[in-house]
Amino acid sequence: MSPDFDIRLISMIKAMEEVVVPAIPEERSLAREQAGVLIGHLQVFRDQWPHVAKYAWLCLRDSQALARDLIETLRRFPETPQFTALRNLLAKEDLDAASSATTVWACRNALASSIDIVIDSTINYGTEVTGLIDALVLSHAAREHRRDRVWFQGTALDPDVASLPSIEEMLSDRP
Amino acid sequence: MDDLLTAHSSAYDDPVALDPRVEELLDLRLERRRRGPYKIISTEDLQGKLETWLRGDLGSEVIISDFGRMPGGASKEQFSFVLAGSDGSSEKLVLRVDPLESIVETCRYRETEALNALADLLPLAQARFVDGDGSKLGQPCMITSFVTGVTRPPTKGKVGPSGVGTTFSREWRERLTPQFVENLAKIHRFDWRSADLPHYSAPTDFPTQAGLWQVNWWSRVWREDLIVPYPLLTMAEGWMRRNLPACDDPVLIHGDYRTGNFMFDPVSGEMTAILDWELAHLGDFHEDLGWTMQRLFAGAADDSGEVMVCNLLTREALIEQYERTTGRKVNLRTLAFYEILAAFKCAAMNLGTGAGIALRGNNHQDVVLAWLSSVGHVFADEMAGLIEKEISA
Repeated sequence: MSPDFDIRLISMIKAMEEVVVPAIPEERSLAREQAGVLIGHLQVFRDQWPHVAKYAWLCLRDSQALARDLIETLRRFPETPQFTALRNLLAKEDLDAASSATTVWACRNALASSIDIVIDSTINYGTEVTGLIDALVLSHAAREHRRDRVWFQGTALDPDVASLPSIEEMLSDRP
Repeated sequence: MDDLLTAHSSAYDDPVALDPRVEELLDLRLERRRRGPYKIISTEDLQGKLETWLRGDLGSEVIISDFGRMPGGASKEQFSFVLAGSDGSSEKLVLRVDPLESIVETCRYRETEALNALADLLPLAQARFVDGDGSKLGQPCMITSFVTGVTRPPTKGKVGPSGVGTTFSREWRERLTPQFVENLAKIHRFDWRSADLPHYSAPTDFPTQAGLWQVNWWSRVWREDLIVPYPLLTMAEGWMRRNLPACDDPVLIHGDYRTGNFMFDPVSGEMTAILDWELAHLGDFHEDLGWTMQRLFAGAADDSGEVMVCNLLTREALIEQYERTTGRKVNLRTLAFYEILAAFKCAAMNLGTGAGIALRGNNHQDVVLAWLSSVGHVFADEMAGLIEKEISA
């Protein structure tokens, strides 16, 4: 796989910083601004690419955990088509260790979509149900969005970036 | 199952009812979305179209010169130029043009009407011309006066995109904070009922309509724009619907009131313009406060380390000074609702709208929108914490 992503990304960043950007006239502000953002994207890719597969699996497993918790919690309430669809989707996982990050991520999204449909279907249920669902989703969200904040910390847009662990540290946590 | 269902299907919880102009804009953007990808405007073509338009309105003697693109601006394409008239007058102006899709879908007529209505009350750019439907320039746009000033201190302090992360020294905080609070108070005191605001609608049919319109607007945006589903946003929508606050006295809302959206003289510290009125609408005053208080717009003071709303003053100080200046009483539960709504809007804009536009190539700053998209997780994380706090209270 040589030249690998690291070699290519390092050389792209250097070319942009030392050749392309200096060649853009000062008055071409849109071009200079976007070239700078492009360099930023490449630098963040460099931080992320070694961990993409592991990250996609972590996101999927956490979504599966939320789906299982929802199904378990709602078991004592009348079955609906939305609950059945979520249960069936959860049971259907046909991934293995060879599955690509793209495929794993697509599974995560399909599951999240089905979870959304269940949440939507219960929006006008009484507080006994909505309270339980809210608590489960909040617990999952606290992990999911913090995880994504860590994943994208290289953008330096997060006002609390100094408090975040590294990507490696985040990946060693389990939901 | 019917026992589980609470009352539904009335005007009070209609999930699609919207401010009519907002509904129109959201419908139009779905149609425009299909026309992409967006080709960035050539300044030569644009100058030609601008000349045709302004000569049609003002006469063939007007001359446009020094036409050039301005830096920044992820929402609109921005250009400055000098307009010279046959009487020897000349003025520097700013042209803001809507790309095919923007991170927020807003109305140039509304923006112009707000600037005109508030012209005598606040430091503002002057609205000079508007093409709200794009019939003159090919894309909706507006032209305002060019305002001098800065959005960040001239010597100290760092700055992020659109003013996010700008820090102020104690000296600058002391100069700017009173103006910041007073200007917000003036916006909320403004008598919109007597003003010429034909593209605005007032949420006055029932007390929760102000909140309902906002939840409907931004949940529709999320549903239409989402690229990757996040259950938190669906859950947050449900929570907001079940917790709509009452508003008996809607005010004019700026909609994006924060550091980065005001300019000031770098010597005197006098504010020279409040910017970016595109999200202006009528609603609950807590909505502007909730927006202003978002974590992304805050920062730790260099001298004390305290977290400052908009890098200017603490949350408690903002509430106290706002109450003292306006005579209004801030309801902390209502404020919490609007903080949650603000975070929802920003999560939807970044994780949904911005990411989708970048995918479709429908903006002049796709690569910037893709970059900024990840900040949606900061807002989502903040929103989760705010809702958790409300549920536990």
